[in-house]
Amino acid sequence: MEEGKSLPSRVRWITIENQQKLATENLVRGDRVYGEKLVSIDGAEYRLWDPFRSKLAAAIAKGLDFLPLGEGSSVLYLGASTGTTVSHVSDIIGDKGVIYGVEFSARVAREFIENVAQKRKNVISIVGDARKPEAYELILSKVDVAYADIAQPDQTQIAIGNCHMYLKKGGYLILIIKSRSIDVTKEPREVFLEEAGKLQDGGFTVNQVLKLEPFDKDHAIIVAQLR
Amino acid sequence: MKLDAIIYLTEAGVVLLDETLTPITSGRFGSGREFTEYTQCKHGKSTSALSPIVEHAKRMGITTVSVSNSSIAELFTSNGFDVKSLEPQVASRLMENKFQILIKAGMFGSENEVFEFLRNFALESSKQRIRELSGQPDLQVMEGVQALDEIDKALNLAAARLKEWYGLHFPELSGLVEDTIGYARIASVGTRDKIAEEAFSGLNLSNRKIEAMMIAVKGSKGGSMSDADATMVTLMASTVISLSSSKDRLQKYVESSMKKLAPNTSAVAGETIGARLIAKAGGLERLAKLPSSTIQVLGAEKALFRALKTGAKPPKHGILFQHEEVHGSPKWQRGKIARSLAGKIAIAARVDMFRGEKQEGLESKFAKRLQEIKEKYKEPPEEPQRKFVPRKRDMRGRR
Repeated sequence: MEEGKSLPSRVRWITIENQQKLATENLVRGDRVYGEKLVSIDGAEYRLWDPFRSKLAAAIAKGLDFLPLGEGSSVLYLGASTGTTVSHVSDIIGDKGVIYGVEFSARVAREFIENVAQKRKNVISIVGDARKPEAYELILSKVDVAYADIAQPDQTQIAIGNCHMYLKKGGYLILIIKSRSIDVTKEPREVFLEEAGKLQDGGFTVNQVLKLEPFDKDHAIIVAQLR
Repeated sequence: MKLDAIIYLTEAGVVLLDETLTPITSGRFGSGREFTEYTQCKHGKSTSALSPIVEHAKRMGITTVSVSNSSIAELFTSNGFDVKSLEPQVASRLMENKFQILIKAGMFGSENEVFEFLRNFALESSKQRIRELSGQPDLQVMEGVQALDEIDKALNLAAARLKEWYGLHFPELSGLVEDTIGYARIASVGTRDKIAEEAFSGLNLSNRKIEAMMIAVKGSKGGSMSDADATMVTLMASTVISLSSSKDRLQKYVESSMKKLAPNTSAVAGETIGARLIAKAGGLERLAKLPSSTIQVLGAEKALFRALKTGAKPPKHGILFQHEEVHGSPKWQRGKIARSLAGKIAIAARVDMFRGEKQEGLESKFAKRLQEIKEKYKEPPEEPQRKFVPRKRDMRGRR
């Protein structure tokens, strides 16, 4: 577990029973989103962030070079699902930030709204198709960061389309790649490099490609900056 | 003199702006009714928020308006205005200045107020979208057929357990009564001494069978069972009967729902198989968009991906194996039949999704092709002689 890399102010490592665990400062004191553990330190409350459940936590645990998120960041989050990772990003950006959570499936969006969007004042919920970003409507201004975790064969294209519409120039894209969703027969490494190539062609400069083992098999995270 | 203005449809109301994007006047949607009125506008229907805008624009002598949303264009052309659509750069600038515009238009007092309003609007909009998505009829059939298959599994488990349990006391019964419900009815009587000829009425058993049963009751190899035990067995038996009745009702429900939802798919594949295909695909629309080659192997994912990854022989059928014409035909014909069937199902699903009425001829076309296959490939193909090489097994005897 990397400790040397600098983390945003509202993220920290906490020592519990001689183990280092990642945690984010709770935006809604006392509230648990998915049954995670709450820890009080120096008068502040933190929510434990499980790298096996959340790919962003896995990336940090694996020593991601640079996490372009902080207090006040505005984020477009594609693939909000039930809101587990969204809730931690919501913690990180604090009450001055805003996160637009886009989810396509009604079944999981239900839980996202009940457990996360309703309780957190910096979350704006959008139930819609990431393939049609022009239909979102409620995006207030271009965002600092786009985060995409959608398991689709054309996920990179979808992310690029969203970024061209809503990401500020110089803003960052954090893309989670699930190699099996793109091509189940290819070697994961080959798929990761190909997707990074697509980002380069799409107007991005790729900062880092990081595999998420052992937390997720055949997954990687790519951090890229829009030129 | 031609005066140009911009009409900006926002979640809070409609704003009339001049070319410098300064609000001239606005029409606020009713408090608490914003989502409804906004949606009305998106559908081209007028709301009370629009009339003050129209009035004011006319009084100012405005003749041309650029609208932020094409759905409200009609509302202005019908009032004698020339309507243009917004240039993309102007639309961008509107989005970037939304907060300021709404505050200047007098609709909100601060950026925080605007943000809170928009966030609540987003929640309302999301909830509405979820309502729409959850109300789709194919979802009901999908749950129904999955319930059917799960109840069937539970029924088989419960029936097997009942036979084991009651078999301690009356083992001969399972050989004499094959039918699950018949067995359960007799088992629910209780201990053997309570079983009399009346227990067999209504079960369609021949007199010979009933005689054999009464003999078996007397000379049974089964052990004794207390009244408390018998009560539990009766409970198991009622559970079996109840599950069986639920299964029958679910079956009828799936059949009648499918006939209504997807009459063509039901006609070609059968109602239950059709429902399973829709469930596997994730909805009728998804099924309709699938290529027939995918429909052919839906349900055989393990074999399919194994074949794709290792180059092994791919599966010829998945759920479609359940179709009588597939599993009932000789092995060498099954692939061709499954392929043809999948093709017709693909067409049927598309008709069901995009036209919604029964189209004649689909089943008969399949039946015709089926005949061709059965004629042309009546005999099994010649298999090239292969040298017998025993497959290697590992240390645990596995291949």
